[in-house]
Amino acid sequence: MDEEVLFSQTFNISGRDFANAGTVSVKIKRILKELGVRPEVVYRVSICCYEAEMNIIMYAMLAILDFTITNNEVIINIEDEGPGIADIERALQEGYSTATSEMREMGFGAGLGLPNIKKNSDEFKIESVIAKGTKLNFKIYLN
Amino acid sequence: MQEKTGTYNHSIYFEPDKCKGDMNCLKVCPVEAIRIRYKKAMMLEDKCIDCGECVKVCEAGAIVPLTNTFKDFSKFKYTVAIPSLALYSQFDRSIKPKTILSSLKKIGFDEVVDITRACISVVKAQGKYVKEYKGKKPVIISFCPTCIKLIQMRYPEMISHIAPVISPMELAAKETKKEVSSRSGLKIDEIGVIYITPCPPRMIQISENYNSDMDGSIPISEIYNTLYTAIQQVIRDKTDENEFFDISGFGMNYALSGGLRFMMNNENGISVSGLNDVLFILEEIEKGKLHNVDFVEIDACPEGCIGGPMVVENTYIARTNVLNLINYFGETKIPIGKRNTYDNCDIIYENIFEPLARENVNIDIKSALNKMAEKKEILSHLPGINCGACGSPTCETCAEDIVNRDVNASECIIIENEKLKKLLKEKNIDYI
Repeated sequence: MDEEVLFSQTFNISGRDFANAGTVSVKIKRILKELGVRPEVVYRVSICCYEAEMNIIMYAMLAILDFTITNNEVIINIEDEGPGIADIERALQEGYSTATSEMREMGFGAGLGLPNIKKNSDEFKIESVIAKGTKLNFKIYLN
Repeated sequence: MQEKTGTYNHSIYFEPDKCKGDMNCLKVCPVEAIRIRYKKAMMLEDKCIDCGECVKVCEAGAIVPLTNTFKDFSKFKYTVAIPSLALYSQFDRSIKPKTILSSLKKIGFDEVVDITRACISVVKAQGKYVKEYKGKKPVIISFCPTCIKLIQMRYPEMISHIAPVISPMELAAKETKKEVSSRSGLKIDEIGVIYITPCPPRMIQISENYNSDMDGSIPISEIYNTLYTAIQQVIRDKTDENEFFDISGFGMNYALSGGLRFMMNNENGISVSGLNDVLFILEEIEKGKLHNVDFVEIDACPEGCIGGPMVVENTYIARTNVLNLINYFGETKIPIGKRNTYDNCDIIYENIFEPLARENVNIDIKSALNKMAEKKEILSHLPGINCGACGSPTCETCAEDIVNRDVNASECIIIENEKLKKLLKEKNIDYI
């Protein structure tokens, strides 16, 4: 089946904005629920978006999140301005984290963010440039 | 018990003949499941979570809970009553649980089982489950049928958070049936276990989800008068003195919202009660804000089951009554009887809660998107004051209903009023 973009929306996320943490993933979730997407898919999308959102809030300055629904998948594209990831391979290992002790006190920094996104998505791409930013792209199939 | 209503099982139904068409129920429904059409209130079956808020506010008595009466149990050879802990909270300090249980026997039950011991075993299992849980936090602990239904309908992706632990009453029912059967030689289906309930939806929930060992329920409010008379008699005749019930003050904590946290001795759990607060906390969980909390106990009624819609005593007095009972039992040494523990029973089961589909699941995304756009467009023309006069609780639900071809936009009194004003102006007629 041909890919056809049915819906797309852009969200801005600011770094260090802990008060609004999680709101973008909830908005995305609401849209998917209203569209009647299967709960299992909604759950996976929302886990991925939440983890990505938290990564931005913890490490980056700001980011743009593009949310797209096509007839057979949900696509999330995130570009942030931030420190970048020095060792992507290590960042993808469970338990590896560069979180500060302050973040850990808040209960973050378990080193599960990126691995969780990778685990819960069907396609996963990441590119990063030190001191510039990170591009993250993942897809979750609707069926 | 009455038959299923449509595809969804609900524990309340609407009687159109009695309905006066006022908006009390429309306004309190926390999930926007009520509409008023042709001056009568009606339930959207795919949205209702059986919380009973509308039952409480309907002055016309047109919203009726489905429950059993004594007659329904005449088919059983042996009847066992299992009262909710909330029953104990309905009486003041002078009336002790032992007397209440003896009196239940007096009004016709063959056996009466207290569930405080079952509560202790269930809490142990919940504690174990929370400790070993590896999934996304927090664990949601609830035996509240309304909360479970709310999650199944509105937050199906959170079903995996729910601790799959059998409820204390279900555990007591199962074990009692086995025990009575082996003692008396009766078949399991000849024994009727009846729950004395503070809320209507309990039985519906159980019959929907798995093979319940309970056979029916009688509301506390319905049994209260008869029971109270029996209690006076029992006190006068002192017939409760030879009875033995193995009641635990520690287990009594379970009756209160927050008791679980105390019993589990886990500092990293929270207790939330009252439907609005439950909705708030579920949203917080949805946002991931409680990712560091071990468990969340949720009850739809304020203060837990003692605040249920079918109790007699007000919630605050009931709460004090429970606290007094905890103190009373705390100081009393209780002999250990035969049913003192359920620890060896199967308490954790597989999570059986299924998502309950809302109306728009499984239609194709393209038409869902069209509807979404259409709704947005309609909403932009509505006044946005959420008056409810059209019979839908808010302008947003009205827009939704129009999209679903359920209501005519001309029902909007604000729009109609403006049209009228315009017309009058055109015709040069003065209006106030």
